[in-house]
Amino acid sequence: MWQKHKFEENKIYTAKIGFTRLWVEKQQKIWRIAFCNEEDTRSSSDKSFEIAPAIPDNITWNQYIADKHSTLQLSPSLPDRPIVVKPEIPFTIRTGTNLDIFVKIPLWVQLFSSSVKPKNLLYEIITTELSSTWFGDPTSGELAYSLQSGIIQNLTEIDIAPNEAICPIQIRNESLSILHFQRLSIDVTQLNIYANQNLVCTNEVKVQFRGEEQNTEVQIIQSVPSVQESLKLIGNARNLPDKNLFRKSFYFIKSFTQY
Amino acid sequence: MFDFLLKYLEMPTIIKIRNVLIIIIAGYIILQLVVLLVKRVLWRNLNPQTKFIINRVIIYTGIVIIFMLVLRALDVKIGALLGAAGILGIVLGIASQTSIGNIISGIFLISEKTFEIGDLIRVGDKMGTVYTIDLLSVKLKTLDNLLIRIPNQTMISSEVTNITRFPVRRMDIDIGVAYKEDLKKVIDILRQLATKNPYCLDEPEPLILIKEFGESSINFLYGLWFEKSNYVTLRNSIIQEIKTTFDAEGIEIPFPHITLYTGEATKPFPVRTSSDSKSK
Repeated sequence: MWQKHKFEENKIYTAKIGFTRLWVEKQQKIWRIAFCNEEDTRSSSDKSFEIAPAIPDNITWNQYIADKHSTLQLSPSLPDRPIVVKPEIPFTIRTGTNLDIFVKIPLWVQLFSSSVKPKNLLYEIITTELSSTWFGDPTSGELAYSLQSGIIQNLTEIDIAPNEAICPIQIRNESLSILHFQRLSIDVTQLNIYANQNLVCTNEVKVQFRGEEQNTEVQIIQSVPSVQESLKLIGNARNLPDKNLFRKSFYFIKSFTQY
Repeated sequence: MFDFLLKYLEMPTIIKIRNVLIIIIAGYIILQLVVLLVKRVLWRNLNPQTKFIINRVIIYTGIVIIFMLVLRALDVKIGALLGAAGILGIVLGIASQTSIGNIISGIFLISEKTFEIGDLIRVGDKMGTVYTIDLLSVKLKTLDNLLIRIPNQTMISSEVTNITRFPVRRMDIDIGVAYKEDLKKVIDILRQLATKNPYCLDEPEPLILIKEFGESSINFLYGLWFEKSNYVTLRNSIIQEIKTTFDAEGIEIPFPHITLYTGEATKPFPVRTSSDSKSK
């Protein structure tokens, strides 16, 4: 699916990516694109482009002026803001111990005319509507998306939807106090996307907690993730990754809602 | 006529005029280059307010320097001029106390950093986006595209609310429900609506407060946190959703009724009891 697709002019094609049904038509220099997000059925599988047998009346077409190239390249992307994940039951991590977790992150789809270059981006399909949240202090925090339940501890037990990527995270408590892990912010804009036939995943992330009053060290491992074999790069990070970045990644619940 | 001009336009005078013109033109070009250079080097990471101040400082300083150079080229004794300017300054100062007050207030306003260009502020009953902060006044552009000039002295002595200072805000909506309603159910519905609405932030959590027993309803305060640019979209969507969901769940939103009677002022209202009507 994540490759170049050639289209004949004035014919409407359809494809299915995860839960997203896509319609595409090329008219000279114009790309006409429409999509709808279908029900979350875990059995859903991708279907490459074919001529659409019927077009629903209720879809909304968007038109993009590009060049005369009749190829369209699809690329997966991660959301455009950091993601805040919350475990259903908070973890407690003792001093000097690690916690290995996997976070399911929704994938979006970018449509490029001819090839994957920023100037060729036609449209980005948000396959999953994410809830917004604020991470950190109301005066100095950042806007993020929130994931209510996306944390898994065992990769073999994961029920992964077609439009989800796995982010492997290792959290190490290097402080002298116990870490009550209530939520974590991951800057997914700095992560690449890799895939093999079974799994879509991102770079591995290592988080070192040094204490409540100190910044947490977040390290994005730039090599191909080792969670499975023969993973290949299929999507680049939105922003250039910092190899080591210090940021407040944990947040300890404070009440903002005093009347 | 020509002889008259030649008398005054002797060679030294022509040279002076030429020098003055060169100073003005070269000074103007250099000043523009300095502004351009500063914009290139510093502009990226600065907010509009700081850009505005730096721009003004460079231009005013440049103009003063050019003016001094022109005076020097004209062989004007600057010391004597400054003495005269001092006397003139006292006279002007007495005559323009309000303006000087405004200038000093402006300096305090800028140093306090209560607001910057582009912030949405409320001053008394006026609300608008800060358009410029000048020497004498602050200019606001109202939401319906009017320009309001507020003198700096008024600004410094008034209560100013900066609406868009922080990236997230809370929108407070007052909701009344009938006394017969199940309050727990109302709270659950309001919580669900906040969770579902994409413009409402999950955190900070929404505030749902049972405020009071009102005259004809139990009143709630529904406080939703949102990213400051989503005010209109959140307000329009959430009020529609509250109405639709309350209607679907059979939750009544009481509202005052007014009944109008026609009749004469001197006569009582034509009230008739049911027993009277039956006997008739």
